[in-house]
Amino acid sequence: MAQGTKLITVDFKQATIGQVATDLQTKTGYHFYYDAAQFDSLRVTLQLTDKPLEAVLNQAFANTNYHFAITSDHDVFLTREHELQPQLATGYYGKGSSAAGVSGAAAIVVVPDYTELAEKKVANATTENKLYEVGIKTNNVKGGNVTLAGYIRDIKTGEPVVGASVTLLNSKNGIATNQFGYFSLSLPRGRNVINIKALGMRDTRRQVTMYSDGNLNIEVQEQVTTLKEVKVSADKVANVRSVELGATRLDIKSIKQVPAVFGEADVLRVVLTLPGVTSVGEATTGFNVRGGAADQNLILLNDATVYNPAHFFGFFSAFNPDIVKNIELYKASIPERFGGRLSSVLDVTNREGNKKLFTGSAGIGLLTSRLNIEGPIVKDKTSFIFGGRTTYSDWLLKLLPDEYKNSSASFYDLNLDISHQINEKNNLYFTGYISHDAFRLNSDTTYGYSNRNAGLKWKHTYNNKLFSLISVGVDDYKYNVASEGNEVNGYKLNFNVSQTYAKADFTYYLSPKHTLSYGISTLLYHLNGGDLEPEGNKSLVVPDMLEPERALESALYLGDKYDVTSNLSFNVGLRYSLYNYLGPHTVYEYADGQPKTENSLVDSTSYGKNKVIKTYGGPEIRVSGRYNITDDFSVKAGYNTLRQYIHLLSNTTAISPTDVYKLSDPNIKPQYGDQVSFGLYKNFKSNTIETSVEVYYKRIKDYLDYKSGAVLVVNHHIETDVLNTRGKAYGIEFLLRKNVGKLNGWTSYTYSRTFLKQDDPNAGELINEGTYYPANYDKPHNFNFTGNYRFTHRYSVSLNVVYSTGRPITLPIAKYDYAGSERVYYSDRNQYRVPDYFRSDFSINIEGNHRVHQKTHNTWTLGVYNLTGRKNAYSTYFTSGGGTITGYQLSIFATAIPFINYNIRF
Amino acid sequence: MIKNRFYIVLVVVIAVCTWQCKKVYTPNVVSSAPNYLVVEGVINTGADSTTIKLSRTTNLADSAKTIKELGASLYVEDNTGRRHNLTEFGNGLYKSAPLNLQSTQQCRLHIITKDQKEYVSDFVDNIKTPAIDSITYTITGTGAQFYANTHDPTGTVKYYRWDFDETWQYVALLQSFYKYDAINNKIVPRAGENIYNCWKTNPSTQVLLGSTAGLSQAVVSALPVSYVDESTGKLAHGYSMLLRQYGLTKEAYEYWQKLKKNTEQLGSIFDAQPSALTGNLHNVNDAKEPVLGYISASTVSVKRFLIGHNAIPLYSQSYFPPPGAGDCTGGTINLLPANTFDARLKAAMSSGNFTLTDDNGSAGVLIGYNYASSECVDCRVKLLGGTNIKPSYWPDVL
Repeated sequence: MAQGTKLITVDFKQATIGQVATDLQTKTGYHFYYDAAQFDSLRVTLQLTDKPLEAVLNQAFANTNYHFAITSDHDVFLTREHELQPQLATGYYGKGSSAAGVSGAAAIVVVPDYTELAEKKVANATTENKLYEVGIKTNNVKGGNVTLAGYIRDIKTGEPVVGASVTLLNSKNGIATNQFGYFSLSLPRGRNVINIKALGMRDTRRQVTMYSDGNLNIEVQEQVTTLKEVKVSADKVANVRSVELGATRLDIKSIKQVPAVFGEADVLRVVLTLPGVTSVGEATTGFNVRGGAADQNLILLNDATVYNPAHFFGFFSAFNPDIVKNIELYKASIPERFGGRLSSVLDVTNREGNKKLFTGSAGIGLLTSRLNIEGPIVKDKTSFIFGGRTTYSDWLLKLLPDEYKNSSASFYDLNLDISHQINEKNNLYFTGYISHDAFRLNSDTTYGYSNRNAGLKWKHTYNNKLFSLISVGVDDYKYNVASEGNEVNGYKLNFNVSQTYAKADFTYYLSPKHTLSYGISTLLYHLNGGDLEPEGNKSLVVPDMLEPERALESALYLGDKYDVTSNLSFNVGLRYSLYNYLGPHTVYEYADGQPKTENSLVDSTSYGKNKVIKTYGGPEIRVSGRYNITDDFSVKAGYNTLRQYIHLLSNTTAISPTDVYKLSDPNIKPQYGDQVSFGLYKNFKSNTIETSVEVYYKRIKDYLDYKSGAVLVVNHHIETDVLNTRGKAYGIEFLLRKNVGKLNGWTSYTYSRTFLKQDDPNAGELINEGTYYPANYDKPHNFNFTGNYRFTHRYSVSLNVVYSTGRPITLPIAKYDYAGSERVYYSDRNQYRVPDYFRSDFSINIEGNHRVHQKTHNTWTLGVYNLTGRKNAYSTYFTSGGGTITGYQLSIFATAIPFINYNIRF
Repeated sequence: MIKNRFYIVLVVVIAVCTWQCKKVYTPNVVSSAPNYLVVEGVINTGADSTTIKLSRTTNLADSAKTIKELGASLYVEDNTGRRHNLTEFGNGLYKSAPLNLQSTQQCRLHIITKDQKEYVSDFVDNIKTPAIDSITYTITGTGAQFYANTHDPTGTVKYYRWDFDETWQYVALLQSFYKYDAINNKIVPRAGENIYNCWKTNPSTQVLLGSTAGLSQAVVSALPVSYVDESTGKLAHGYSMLLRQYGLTKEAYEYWQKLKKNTEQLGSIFDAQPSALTGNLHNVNDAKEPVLGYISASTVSVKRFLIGHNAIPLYSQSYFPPPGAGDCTGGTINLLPANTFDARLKAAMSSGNFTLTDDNGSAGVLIGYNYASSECVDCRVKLLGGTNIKPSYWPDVL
């Protein structure tokens, strides 16, 4: 290889192999031969002056698995993974084929795969080149398939790598690792090469000879792009190849790039930038997925249900960005293992603690400070991760205008996750979570709420094909409101809902074509819907307590991922859910065919403890299918049905701290919904750009809306104040997403409508004469842009732009004089809209230097929330004061808000 | 160092901007305003007259405050079928003689409008309103907060509504000892006529509701009725409140509650949405026509409260409302030169914008007469609707 006496100067910036080859050919006159497809993910950034060709290529391919060979005929062969033997090249290819050269449009010369050769070659002692022999060794390798299973872990932290794709070389068959980094792959006996690709990790491969079923654990390295200057894009065909529709996965890296108010990386706010997800406004804990109500989202933190995922009136999400690893939102194809909510599942997964060494990070922001520590308890076996956040936002409230100066707010959240490996086949995971909020908004009334979750999971691997996950835990949510302003009326109101659950999930890799998942779960609700107590000695408030409610929600499910061919796959799932409303409880009965009011109450029946008062249940269908038209283009369709047995009762637009949950009972039916969806998925530019279009149509039955003037707090017969409505929602969602490169991010546009209808004359009240009316969260046009541009490895900027139609409101249409003042007469419900919403946020991220070995790494984030300072209307209202009516538009964050955040990692 | 500077900058930036704000909002929504009948009033079943007010809804953008409904005939029907007519009083008001319906259990209101549409309310229970125990106040900040207190010894009345008329005494800035006789173009002494002390009466503008439904005793304690800030000037001399208390049924209470929620208690982040408001009146022939208002029937308990300024421990610059000395224009009409006196007097006083105050002289010699803008001298001009006739209940010395 003693070539390249001619000295050349190069300057490549993210250059493709074509650009590199053309440039070098011009400068050296050498001919380049390579397979363009093998190099599609290579980008070269290199600046060299007066160096021989060999040195240039050496640097360009440093730390990659690309190789080159230069022949005496001035031909250069570029290969991937297998180094070409130079002597082989001499005269091996006829001169005729070299005519193609780089100038030829078609790919030059196909460099053969050297799998055979590599075996003979004494490999460098790297893991990639090592041949692993799996199973009981036999002399002659039989035919047929065997199963290889194992974990994929981060070599540095020992953390499992979730969603890594494990594929056989030259085959479309492959699977993704599950939430524990576990994979089970069916492959033919004999020699195989397995490619492992995961987002943020360096691609790697393993060579195995399979004799029988066996295990292979694979450790992968984090892709430190900052130092390599050669970025190989990970396998991004997941969106095209997965069978699910309407599922989005985001890792914490992309979440942190989105500018957030006060600089706090915010899981829920990022969810709001996804197509099909809206919220009624800025100060709300809830989000609406495809026309569903805010309580129709199942929000899971490491499998624990979080009832109120927000802090500080909804300005922050209650998930600690330093602990969260990734989130997954299911809008359409909700896996059969999930149930109990109609609209979506938001699955938030925390990181596992570092199993090798102690690390941590801390952040200082305008409003909150964070600290997290993680490390091994027993090295490589047991690790923990602890994260805590707290606020010191009171100082900010003090700066508000006088009318808010008596306000106060505080919150904290704590996470503790422990993972322990008992042995190869058994793992234990513990998750603990507490969040707490207390605030007072310039009144004598204080509010507090708190989530508490604890869960234990035991993962057991029976064999390569079957593993199970048994989980038990308790989820608890409570709030209290206390008022001491008037000593006679001083009160304290407590609300609490808790659920104790146990479930067993099994995954069985039946055959290369079938992966079965099945399981059973049960959940005991205990709900205290309101407990009113006098506060203070002089209070005359009569203690009033709603009778606690109990119910059992159980389910059984079976699902099959069936790969008919490598291009056609189905997920077919069936879930049967069963709901028992349990005693002790007193149930009111109402006269048939009459509106449920206190006047039509005819009877009450008391039931004893654990007596089944009412049973609801039924099958839920979860079906989706995917057909690949080409490798990067697929169509998918799906149909889903879901049932929900717990309801959030609210007559406010936003979820407010005093909304109550209610279990289905003989008078309140469970909600039922179904959805049909269809999608097209196409990737461009070697899968670096993802696009998709999805349409859906959804029906909702027995969604609860409130009667006019409903009293929802401490109401002993809440059924008299609510109405069953029917809903329909439909929409189309466009998404364009780019995950790699200097510019990355996503942009989406959604057109969607959501309507409700209450046309039962026996309900006592027709809303809008029984016609369809837009739901509170019906916002037809939604546009989002979330982008990040990386100037250098230390500086990047992020921009976030949101536009949406204003939400529906009920407006006054006439005025009249009554009770000493002008009053307004309101239109039918939700017939008008607030002005359109527009907001743009901007942030600059500055990272400290990138030396890997230093004690601390620090980053700064500064930016502006609501850059244009637009006064977006949160709500409008009309109020009479001093004898006249004035309309007001209420804005939250009515100005540009600058922020700064400092983070340190150690 | 950089870090500290950033923090200081940010603190300043946040201090000048509010993060929640409201601004006036005028939607351009309604082109054709509905024209619904609005019925307001309480059937007073006690020994006082019943007044019902009829009006129509108007377009939001209309500057006309209300359209009165004239020429209707109304009567109250009790559960024995007896009718008690109301007579039109003008301005959309219809009044009856005292009904004295203490013995009846239920009654309802009939309305036949000029265009021969017939409306009727539901039969409503006759509530015997307990007496008002007391009206109390506390000094809160720069004003006085007034409270109503009542209880029902029988424990039957659980829902209450209040309204009130407030009357306060106020004075002009300057006293007037002379008046202008426009007919003769002469100055005459203002003997025995007071335009310095006035009284003004305003009705309440808020819906005031109370409930003892959640309490172990039927006691309404310190229900906030009205907050009067000293800057209104209402506390500067004397303040009186005539509070009326109405017992309500649960349905009536819920109606008023909704009305209050819809039109007064909106605008915070966690507000309930406005809701449809259906009263208890209907068009006999068209059940779908909305009729606004709720008719209830009860006796009315009345109590007057009166407080002098000496009893209120408040005093500040803003105690007396404008105009102050700096706001008054005026001048002097000198006697000399005598030949132009009449012309000068006429020129100054004929516009009617000025009122004579006192004379101007030195060492017992009269030089001329002073005058000032009427709003500084005549209390009836200072506040429109004010009267210089002392109410009968107002004591001479407060």
